[in-house]
Amino acid sequence: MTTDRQLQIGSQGGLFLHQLSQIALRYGIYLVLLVLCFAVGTIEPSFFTLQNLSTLLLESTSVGIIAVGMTFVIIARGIDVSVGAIVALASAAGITSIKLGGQPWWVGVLIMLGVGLVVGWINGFSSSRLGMPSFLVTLATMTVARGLVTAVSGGRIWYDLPNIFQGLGMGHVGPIPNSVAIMLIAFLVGYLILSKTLFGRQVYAVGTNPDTARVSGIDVERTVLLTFVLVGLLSSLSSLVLTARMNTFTASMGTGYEFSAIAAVVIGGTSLMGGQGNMGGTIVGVLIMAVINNALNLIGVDAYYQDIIRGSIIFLAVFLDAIRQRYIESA
Amino acid sequence: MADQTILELTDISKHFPGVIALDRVNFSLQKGEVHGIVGMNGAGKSTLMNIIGGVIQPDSGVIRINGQMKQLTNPAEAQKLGIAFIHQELSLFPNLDLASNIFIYSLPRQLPGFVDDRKLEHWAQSVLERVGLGHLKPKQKVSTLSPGEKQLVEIARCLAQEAKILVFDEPTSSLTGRETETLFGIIRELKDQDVSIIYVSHRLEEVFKICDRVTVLRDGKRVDTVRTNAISRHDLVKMILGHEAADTAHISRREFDSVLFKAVGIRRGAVLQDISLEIRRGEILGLAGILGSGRTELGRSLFGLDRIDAGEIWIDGRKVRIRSPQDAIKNGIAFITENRREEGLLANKPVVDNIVLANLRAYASLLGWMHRSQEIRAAEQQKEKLNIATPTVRRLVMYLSGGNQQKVVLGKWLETSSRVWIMDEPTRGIDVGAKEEVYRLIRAIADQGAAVIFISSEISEVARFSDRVLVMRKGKVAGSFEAGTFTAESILIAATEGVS
Repeated sequence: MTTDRQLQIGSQGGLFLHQLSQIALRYGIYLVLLVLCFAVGTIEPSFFTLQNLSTLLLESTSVGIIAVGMTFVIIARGIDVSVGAIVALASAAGITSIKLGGQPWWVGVLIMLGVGLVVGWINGFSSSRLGMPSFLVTLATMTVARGLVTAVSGGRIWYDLPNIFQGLGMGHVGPIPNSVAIMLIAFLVGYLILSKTLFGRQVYAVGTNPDTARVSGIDVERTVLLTFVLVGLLSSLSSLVLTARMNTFTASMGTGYEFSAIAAVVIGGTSLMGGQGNMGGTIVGVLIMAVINNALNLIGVDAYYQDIIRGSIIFLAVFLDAIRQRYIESA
Repeated sequence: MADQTILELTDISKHFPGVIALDRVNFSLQKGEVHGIVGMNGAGKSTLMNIIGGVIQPDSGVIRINGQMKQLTNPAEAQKLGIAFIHQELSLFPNLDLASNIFIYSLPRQLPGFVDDRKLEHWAQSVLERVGLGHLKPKQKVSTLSPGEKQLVEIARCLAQEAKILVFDEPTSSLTGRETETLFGIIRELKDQDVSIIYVSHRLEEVFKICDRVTVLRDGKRVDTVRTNAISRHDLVKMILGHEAADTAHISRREFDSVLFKAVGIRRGAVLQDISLEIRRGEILGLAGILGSGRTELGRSLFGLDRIDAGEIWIDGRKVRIRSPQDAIKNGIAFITENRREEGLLANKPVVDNIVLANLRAYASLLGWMHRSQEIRAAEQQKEKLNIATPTVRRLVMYLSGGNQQKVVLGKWLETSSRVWIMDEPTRGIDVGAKEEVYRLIRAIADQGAAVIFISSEISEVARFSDRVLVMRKGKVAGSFEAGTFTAESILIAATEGVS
């Protein structure tokens, strides 16, 4: 009798704790962002100046745009580490065609988008229809793409791009810099596709359980392929925005973007096990990464300490994901 | 040979929530005996084996090994006392060599952390000879062996652990005829070496061939233990089924229209060899067969999940091409898989997401925009119609009971307005009350003009519930019964021995 009652109370207590942890896991990330901003603002009052906040946003745009596509890929159980290399290759091919090939600016832009489309398609085709693990596929395409960057550009650095690029990089929509506006649009469209469309549903279904999705008539391979094409195209867009903002092409562009984009998505609560996550989380993840980078620079932390801190944050995010998974499984 | 009892179970009972799995079962095993255990699914065979293997503990009863009372609190304990299982699904490491596989639990050491290869090879050679594999090299990789040889290696592993009692669970399901003969030869030799064997099988001919005695279980009770040379096959079947079940034939008084679904000459490797079937509107075709007979594979092939080598599928007099589940669904075929959690449901998603899953496009605009309110409404309607016990359709499916989860799967396919339903074990893992409800739902689906293929390993269920029955055995049709011509007994005989 007593043991029964104890058991019941125990399980109720457990349920309460469980619910609390669920809430914490779901909304904790927003809290983290607020506390982080507040803490940084206290240590370094210049954080809250308009100037600094706008720099912070500007610098998050390139990774932010990629993170939109990465959210799709990771929800569908994939991973793409070639995105940074796509940024560099798209810029190399597009700008070289303009500067050396004498092509008009719009041909250069189309080439940039084409690079993302092609590499994304190769990544997606190999990871879905050929059944290769996406991590290794994209590691390979990343290496090939980085090699191509040097081959295409011949190690050159290009300045003085056509005026249209400068206009894109420097211009504003009202008070908002163009690149920030593009990122916000990418987030909005990404959000709508992911949570309001047929394709979004298919991505979640495939990521939650590919076998069930297949039996239910969803073309699993096509869905996975499209997520990689999407992230490839967004990497090209990111490349365009970055090239325009810097008004420069250099071969080292986009280095480490794969890392930052994946980190932002995972910090935002998208599970590496697939099927879980949303675009709102990714936005917050991108902002958290941006605030941390900004703070490290404001406070003047040495570059190597910055890496140590960034790495530790990723570790923590993946650790939390593992805990969350265990909660889901034990439920 | 002096009878010497090595293992004795007395009055073993085991309750699970809502079920009495074993009810005061007695069982004894002599030294050097081959003892068969037979019974239908749910008779209590697995529970009994799990108790002998230390996987689960009985609620009451006594286990004696060599006359001494023992408690088998975990599998390692049972292993230490000399009880070893030969698993249905092989548990070998394909990329390791034979010797390492055989001695994986007790590799001979030289220095700490280093394996004594010479000794290992030497030991392995002698064990391999005991199981008739003396011609193989201990350094050979397991992946190079045939299924039959692998099983013998597994036996060798048990012998290396000095097992005195070997438990075989359906050992021949993946073996060819010749491999089966070899296995029986080895079993006889092991017998002579005073090893005792428990042999669980559906295949009665094998039980008669190899076993000295056989224990029959039914509904958690031991019916009897008899010497195999003192009972006829017919009487054994009667004991397995229980007398009542044998004499009442299910008579379907239904009138059916034209043929709705027809499959002709379906082939897939050795798994499906020239299967043809026809189902009329409103008809439930029972598909019976023991594990490995090809019944599940047939369902998967008809639905386009597995590629077929040859064969035609006709629906409503029209030949259709089904190469993928998408094709199948487009042609109005629904498929309820045998493993609900793995292939039927998105367990950690809400009920509503599951209900709409097989027909997502119906809730989307031309441009792919989803209408969430329509999805919710559809889910609410199915919840109402199927009586799914959940406070809201937004509840995650994994929090529902097995029966309610199955209703969600049914609801998912009802949303597709399918006309051909393939149901693989639709009542597996759900309690008795929910089972009756699922039966009613399936009958209602058929009554609305659908053609239903009802695949089940529970023969009594097939006999009771089907309008016609097709029995499969080793990838072929082993029997076909028109309405009113079958009983559980005739189905069981066809499934285990094959009739023309």
